[in-house]
Amino acid sequence: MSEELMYGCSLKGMRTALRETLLEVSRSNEKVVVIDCETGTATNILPYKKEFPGRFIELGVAEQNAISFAFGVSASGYIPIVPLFGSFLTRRACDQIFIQVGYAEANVKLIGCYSGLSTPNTGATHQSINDVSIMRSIPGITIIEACNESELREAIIEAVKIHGPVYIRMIRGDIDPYESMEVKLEGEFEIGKARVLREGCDVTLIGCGLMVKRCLEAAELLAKEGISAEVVNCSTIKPLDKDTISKSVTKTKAVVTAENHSIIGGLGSAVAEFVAENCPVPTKRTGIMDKFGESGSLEELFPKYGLTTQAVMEAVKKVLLIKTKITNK
Amino acid sequence: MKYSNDSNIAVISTYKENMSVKDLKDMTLQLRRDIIELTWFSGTQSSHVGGELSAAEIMAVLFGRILKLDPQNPVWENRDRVILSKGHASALTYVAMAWRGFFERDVLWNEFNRVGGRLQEHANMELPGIEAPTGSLGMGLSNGCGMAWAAKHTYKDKKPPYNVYVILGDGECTEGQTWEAVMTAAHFKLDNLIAIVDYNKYIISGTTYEVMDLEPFTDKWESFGWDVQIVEDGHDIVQLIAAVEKAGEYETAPDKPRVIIANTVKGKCIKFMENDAIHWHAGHLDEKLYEQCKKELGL
Repeated sequence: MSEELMYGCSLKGMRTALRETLLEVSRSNEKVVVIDCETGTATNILPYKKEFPGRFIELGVAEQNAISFAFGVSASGYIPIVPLFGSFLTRRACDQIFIQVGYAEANVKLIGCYSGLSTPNTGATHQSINDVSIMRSIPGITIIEACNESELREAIIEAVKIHGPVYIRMIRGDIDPYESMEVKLEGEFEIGKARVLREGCDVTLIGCGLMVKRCLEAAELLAKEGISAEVVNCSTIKPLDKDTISKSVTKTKAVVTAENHSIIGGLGSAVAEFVAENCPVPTKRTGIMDKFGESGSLEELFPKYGLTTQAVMEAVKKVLLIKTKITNK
Repeated sequence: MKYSNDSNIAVISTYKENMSVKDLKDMTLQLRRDIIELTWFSGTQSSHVGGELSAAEIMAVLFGRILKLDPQNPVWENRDRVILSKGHASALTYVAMAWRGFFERDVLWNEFNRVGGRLQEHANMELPGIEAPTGSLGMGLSNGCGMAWAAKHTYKDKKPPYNVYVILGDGECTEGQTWEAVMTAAHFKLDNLIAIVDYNKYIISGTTYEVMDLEPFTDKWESFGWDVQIVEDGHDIVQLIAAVEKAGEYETAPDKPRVIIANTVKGKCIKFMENDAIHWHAGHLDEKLYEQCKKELGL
């Protein structure tokens, strides 16, 4: 099979999983429709139009109209899926999402593509580093970030099954080796359920999206230094799986979070808020440190903005120092 | 705090089939009286009364004559959809819904702007019969486009059994999203979508001419591909019926969305509001003003 290309880049990974899953859910459910705002080329969903021309709604570059339109379509019994760039979806159409998706409890499925810093040739304007912060602050919206293609597929399928608003966050996942998401998952994906991918007793690493793989790599390297790290794939950011997190941090008594997002308002904040109020232990968040991104290669961007295995390991060392100080008091 | 049993407003109009012009005039008076009563009994003694009074005839013609609705089954599939995009005037929808029998009149006096009540200053979906949460301006026409698209998609080549009506404020026509929706409706040939603009010429802080001129308003809609009708007097029931009924006929303008621009007066029928429309965009009533309103409405 010849390799698919888009603007000279290979089409595989999450983008392909998105396209295939949209087709899959639409074949089995005639109520599913897809709304696009001219990001369909980049998100690789245009083939959907070929198979379902009547169900692919192109609305031009008008995200606000698209969200309110999606509400109208959902109010008529359809299930609109809206895969746009996460940045423009959540920032440009925030008010529409707040009122006509969240407040309305609308059966609208939002997909934030190109999330975080995972696109090299865009820069701060397009890098979606606070979409989770925005979406978390809106009551009633389920937020999911998948750590690999299979989890994305399952997340979309499950999102269509439940009634109500869901926000799914994804990256391209095809810029090797930096976006590699080769994570082995066992068991079935379940909305609201975090999965322990590796057991450990010294520190809990809680990650989502592309940082799950980095957490696993960090745990492997830390093991060589005699540090036992538990790794939790927290793909549902809201509602948080409090049981799994509480159980793990009560055991390890230290936690490090890792996300391809600002450390303000995302997974790290969600975990820190929960841990501080319910099972307080030393906590460190890794991710983008309250800064705007920039355009450049992922090879340079990821280390600069803290999205590496190394960044997770450094945070573990720091959090363990605090843990030791507390234990020795 | 005042409650329902304090309200003694008479019922002078009830729903029946084939409402005549005279019936609709009575209904409009009822709506206006109920708006004032609702404002007075509101948990905040206020509502966006100026823009409610300006659209009273529009709402009367829709709820009294045009809309196919089933108050016993607010989600009846073939019902006409109506969205009040100028959601700050939701009190007008509430009195029209109560008049049509969606809920008891007591609900008006007990639940508007009261904590735990379903009648929010800006309508939400908790109240059965409300089609969209509006109030943040400029979203309603996009909602209407989605609904009209869905109706056409469902019924394919056949004419959908219902229309989608959206009432817009003139002020919200300064929102960019309104024009995104205007473009969308024409692009998808949504001839089952009927927008009615309550053109009272006042945006919050002044006239539309001063603050952000909408003119040439008709030309704008026409150039976007809409069928435009002007209602010279948006308080004339006969003119409104003619325009709305014409807009509802497919043959009027196949493949084109329809807009009716109704020239209205903010605060209509309450002289001190008509003369001070800026103040009465949203206003609080005191006892003296409440009595004066009642007097002007023949109570």
